[in-house]
Amino acid sequence: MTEITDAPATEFDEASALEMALAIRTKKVTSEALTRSALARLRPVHDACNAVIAFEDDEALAGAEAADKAVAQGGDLGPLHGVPLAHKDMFGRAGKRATWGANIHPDTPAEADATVIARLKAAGALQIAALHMTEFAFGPTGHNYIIGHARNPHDRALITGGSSSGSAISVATGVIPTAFGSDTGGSLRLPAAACGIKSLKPTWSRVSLAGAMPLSGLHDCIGPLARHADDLALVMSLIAGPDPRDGRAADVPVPDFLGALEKSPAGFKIGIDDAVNGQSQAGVLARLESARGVLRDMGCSEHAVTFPDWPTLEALGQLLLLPDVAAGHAAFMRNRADDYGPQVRARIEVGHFISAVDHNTALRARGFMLQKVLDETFGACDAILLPVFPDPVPTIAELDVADSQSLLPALARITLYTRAINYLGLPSVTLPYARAGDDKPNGFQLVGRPFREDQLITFAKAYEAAVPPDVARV
Amino acid sequence: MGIDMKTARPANLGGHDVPADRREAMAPLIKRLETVAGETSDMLPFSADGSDMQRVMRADLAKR
Repeated sequence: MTEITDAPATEFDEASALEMALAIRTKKVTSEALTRSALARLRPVHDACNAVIAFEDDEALAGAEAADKAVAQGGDLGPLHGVPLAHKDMFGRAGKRATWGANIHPDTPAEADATVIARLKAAGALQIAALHMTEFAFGPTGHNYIIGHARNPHDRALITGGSSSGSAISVATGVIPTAFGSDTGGSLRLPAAACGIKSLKPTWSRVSLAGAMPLSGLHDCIGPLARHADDLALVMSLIAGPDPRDGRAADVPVPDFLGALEKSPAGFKIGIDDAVNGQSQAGVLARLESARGVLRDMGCSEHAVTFPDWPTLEALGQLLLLPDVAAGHAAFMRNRADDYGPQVRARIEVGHFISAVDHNTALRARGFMLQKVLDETFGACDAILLPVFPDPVPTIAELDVADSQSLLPALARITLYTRAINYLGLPSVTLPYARAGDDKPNGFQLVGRPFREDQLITFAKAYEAAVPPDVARV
Repeated sequence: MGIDMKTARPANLGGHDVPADRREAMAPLIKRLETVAGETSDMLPFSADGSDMQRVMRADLAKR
């Protein structure tokens, strides 16, 4: 088995996927050079941050060689042709068994690629590794008592956020330009914020879930983490839309996400609920104010708005989520409870204690509450501004609480601004706060109207001009 | 603090015992969620349905 530990750098190592693909197509760099460089840089990142579950050097290099041959032969090349990527280890891939970051794995190798993996493969993308994730994607911090906790590349004492922890590390360190994550209660947004990059949580049902590990089909969303807005747009253009393998995937028009990069957000209306945002620490509010300044400079207008009742939305999210997760894991909990890590087991147990009536009340209320939020909170607004974390990014140690009594309150605080958005099914782009000096990463979210990820991409691209992407040096 | 059970709930999940300390730890959360569910059901229209969300999402998109 090959292990690439050293390789020459290329001038496109930290470029966007869009730029990498162009450079490969125009023969400015080979896929093999980019892939070798990415693999060589991934190993020290893994040593420092625990980013990887499985390295796949041989397959990646074979794929790169084939990609370079195709370039030499000419012809149609996909928009990600030869670009080395890696993803959270929760997606089915033909002939492989995903680990789900857990001791409990699929019984047999996947017969087919998950739809999102198949769509990236069809676009020419390579996969160089399977990446760290919170056990079963059920945790917002990056702690994993089975495979070890993930560490933040900006400061190893800090959490990465979860559950898409390895994806965030690998993108933040510039090893790869973009990676898939999933978001059931904040799992794209929290890692993106904690690691200082971007993510796009699509509208629920915008992207097929076929072949991905389910956590709660009522909430799960698959989306990209990236440093560059261009890559959020590119990946969304490839994965959004209906799928015969997933009846939930919405058959609604897919906008021109790449075209959204060229638009201006001037005139966009942003809603701000000071009471909801005010639950954040003062330091976070100061950074949010700085982000608001950037948005105003972009020509966006601010509008005071009020959510109907944030704690109620948050509670309804838990009423819907927890029994759904518990039901999915019921057989494992009966037969293999000792194979779980303490945090995930303790959280799954909670779902067993919520009545079916209360769970279904939350389900029946979902459309009603969304209509209320669209009418009374959004009104004419295009997006609502919220923090991602209410506090500075916490340390691994302070949240290393296993299944103790402080677990549930601690996780509730972390997900204060994320879970309600999953309940409402709305899309959300996470953007990093500007940093200076010793500032640690953190981020905010713009929550959009249903199926308007294109507007969020327009925001992200314009914001990037003021707050350019950076790379965490490990 | 015990859990006020409206329906029988499984302290034993068919072979996995939920220890008393964890049942105690989750009790305030369960109580709060029950309260929210009750208040929500009081205000919901009788016709409310789990599929409403997709209809609302599509209708909002169609308006824009």
